[in-house]
Amino acid sequence: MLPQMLRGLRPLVTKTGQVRALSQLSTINAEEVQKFSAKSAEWWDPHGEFGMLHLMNPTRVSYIRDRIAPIAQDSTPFKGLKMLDIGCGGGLLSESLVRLGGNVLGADASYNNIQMAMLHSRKDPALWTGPGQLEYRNTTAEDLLAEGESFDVVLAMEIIEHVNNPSEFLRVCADMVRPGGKLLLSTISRTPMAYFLTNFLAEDVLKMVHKGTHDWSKYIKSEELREAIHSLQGGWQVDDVRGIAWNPLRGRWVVSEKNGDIGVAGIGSLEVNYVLTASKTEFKFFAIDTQDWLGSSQNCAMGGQPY
Amino acid sequence: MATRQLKAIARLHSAKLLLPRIRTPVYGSSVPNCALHTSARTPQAQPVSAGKHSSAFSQGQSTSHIYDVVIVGGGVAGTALACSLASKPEFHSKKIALIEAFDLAPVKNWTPSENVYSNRVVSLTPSSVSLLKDIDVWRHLHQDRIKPYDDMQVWDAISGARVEFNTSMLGQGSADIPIAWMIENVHLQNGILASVAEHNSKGAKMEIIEKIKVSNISYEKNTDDSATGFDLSDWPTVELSNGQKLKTRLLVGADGANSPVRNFANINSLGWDYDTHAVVATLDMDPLRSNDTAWQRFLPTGPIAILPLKNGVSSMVWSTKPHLAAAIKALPEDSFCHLVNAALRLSTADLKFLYQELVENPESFGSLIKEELTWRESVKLKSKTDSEMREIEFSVPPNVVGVQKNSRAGFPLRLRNAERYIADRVALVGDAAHTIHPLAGQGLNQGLLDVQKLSEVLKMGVRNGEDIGHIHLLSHYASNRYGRNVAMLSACDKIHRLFGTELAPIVWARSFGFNAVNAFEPVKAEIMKYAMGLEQSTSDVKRSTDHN
Ligand SMILES: Cc1cc2nc3c(=O)[nH]c(=O)nc-3n(C[C@H](O)[C@H](O)[C@H](O)COP(=O)(O)OP(=O)(O)OC[C@H]3O[C@@H](n4cnc5c(N)ncnc54)[C@H](O)[C@@H]3O)c2cc1C
Repeated sequence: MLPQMLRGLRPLVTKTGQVRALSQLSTINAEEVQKFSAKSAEWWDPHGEFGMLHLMNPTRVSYIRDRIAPIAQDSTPFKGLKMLDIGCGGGLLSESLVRLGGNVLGADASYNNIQMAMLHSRKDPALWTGPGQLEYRNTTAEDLLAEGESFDVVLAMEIIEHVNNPSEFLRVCADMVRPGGKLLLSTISRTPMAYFLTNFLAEDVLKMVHKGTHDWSKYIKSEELREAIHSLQGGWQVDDVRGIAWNPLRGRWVVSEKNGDIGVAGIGSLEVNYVLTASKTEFKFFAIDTQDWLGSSQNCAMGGQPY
Repeated sequence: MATRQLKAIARLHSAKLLLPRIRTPVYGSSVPNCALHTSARTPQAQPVSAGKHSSAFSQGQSTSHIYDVVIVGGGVAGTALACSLASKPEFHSKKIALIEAFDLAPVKNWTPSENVYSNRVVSLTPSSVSLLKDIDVWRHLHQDRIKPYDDMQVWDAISGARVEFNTSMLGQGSADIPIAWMIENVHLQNGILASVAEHNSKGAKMEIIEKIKVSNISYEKNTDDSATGFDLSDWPTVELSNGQKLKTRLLVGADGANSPVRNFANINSLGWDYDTHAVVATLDMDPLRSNDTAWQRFLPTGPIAILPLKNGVSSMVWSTKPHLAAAIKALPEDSFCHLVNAALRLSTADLKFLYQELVENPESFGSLIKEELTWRESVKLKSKTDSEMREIEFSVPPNVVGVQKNSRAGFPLRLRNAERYIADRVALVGDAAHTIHPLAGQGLNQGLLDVQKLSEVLKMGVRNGEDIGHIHLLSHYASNRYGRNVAMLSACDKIHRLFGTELAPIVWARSFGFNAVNAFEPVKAEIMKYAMGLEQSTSDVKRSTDHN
């Protein structure tokens, strides 16, 4: 299984080509943690460096909602879902998920980020009055898995491009998804267009973000990620992959209308930001209570059919 | 705001407020796999402590003073917003209050009394009507008390040039739509409040706090932090005249032209006062003529509009110089009616003479106006055939035969536009955001379009789990409404200025303009669609459906 997965991710295999034992492996790169911690104080400034991320948040939440609870009309479509926001940063996504009713664990390897997130969470009583629940933990994906945590939905948004060993990170995230649950990832593709926009324009020219924020060589193309997910253990399938692009005219981020449309105008080499949903379809039959299984509602992260 | 947040953050950091690493699991290991156990609820966990000095988020602390939305102002804009939010299931779990200084009981208990109409009426455009239908207000209105009209005659007193608008020009699909619907403000509000009550009976929890004024709005430092554990220092605190204090995620100013909310948010309101007052009145019209047309005559002192309410009853809005407005308001009933008829029929030179007499010899004005009107009309109609006389008669509104008791009132006219419609956790709607010349009857309609857009944006925010007071979300509202309102404001201002002059070239130009417009149906159709809000609503619908 593992070699198969590595084949899918060949360009991303660490230089040594080795995969160390899980317990010793931390997918968190100390340098990266340092970079973001230094900036954490500015995290929540709507006009600051993370402004673009703030603007992207509603768009990706809307995507998550469409994937997880497409039919729900009320304000708490994620009620009862246990969700992990890995790499939660200042808590932007975690807060939104809690407002939508999720039981959310926001985890981040940076102590400062977690502090930032916790401080900010005091600014909104709705995060604490339910039905959603919020917890922040200064920890890593590996530690959570080692502690035996599992979730209905694991979200790794804008993080896989920052970790040291993406294939291992992906496996750890996937293993924390309960059968029938979903894994959502968003990241930047390794295309010249992406390099131009994120490394050259955003860092060098416009100086919108700190130099060194992005490491182009770590970017992952959507096809690579798709293959890596298909080769994971546990009966994984990719439900949906779409591009997310900034629409300057409308002043907002927009997700492609069709599953599979990733690059600008559907041109693969133009793909930059994209978001992907995968579901774990393998059921552990001994764990199924047939009654509940039949009575499950649309609010749930059911492993759906491939699109 | 940005700097305030940064300062707050810097303060927190310099204070080295180290938070304990949270280990308490929020959810127990018994959280069911949702895919398998959907209806099972997570056991209520102990809330997390976020600071060692506070019993943060501890259970049992009252959050009853904490609101998601506080709307200040229970005029049409404020109540319509309350109704629009209450009509959406997304807001049923949100805590929302509307605060109105006046007693709303007379509005709630209003019943129509035949032939007696309020002097405060509005003409609703088709897009306002479709909003009112969407939020379930239309059903609550007395349909026979609403007057639709599909014909509008606008003419210029100096050149005599005339434009006639009729919805049959709009082509298929639009031909049956009235240009507008006349309705009394109190009737509209009565329907809105009835609809709010109905939404409340179906799950909404709209709180209406009336007979209580907002006395102060401020940001509060965290005095009661230790009590709740929350940091609401950037949430507006609304202080009421009964001493109550509400903290709100989003504060909406629907509090009219002198908006206290706008002042609190330090938003300037730009514009000027017209040297003009509007006299309104409810008129009894010649019952023998049908009453299905809205009339507007542009006089050098300002337009006079006669709007149908039912056969035999119309509403008047006469914009004129303040000293004339005061005199017109104070005239005995019969002289008043004669003067209104004169204003709709006589030449500007004759009117000038009448105004002069009105101001200089008020005692003898009554007998003068009566004679003048009869004489001038007889001269005008002399040696005309019957059909010519009919044509002349039908080119002006029916004769005004009476004015309803206590229905005359005067309003100073002004143009204002807030320099911004939003600030952090603040949004302005209706007259709080903009005040317009009433000549196109757009003020309240613009307010309703604000309401529609703001509630649509807030709904989108709730659906995406956003903090609905956040400036990023609110900016979608402002960017949609600001340009459109400014366009309408300046169009009406230009029309006011254009017609407020007697300089010959401008008069030629405008008569050419009027006649040209009148002769060119497609242009007329476009102007009419714009004023009816038709273009706006279709593009809004398109926008709202293609979001994301
Ligand atoms: C003569 C005239 C004719 C018009 N004709 C038309 C027309 O044909 N078509 C049209 O569309 N528009 C028309 N308009 C404009 C229209 O009437 C206004 O745009 C509309 O009424 C504004 O509604 P609003 O709810 O924004 O403000 P308002 O009606 O001013 O309501 C504001 C509310 O806030 C409350 N309030 C204020 N301060 C406080 C406080 N501190 N605490 C608590 N409550 C407070 C007030 O009591 C009031 O009820 C006309 C206006 C005039 C003057």
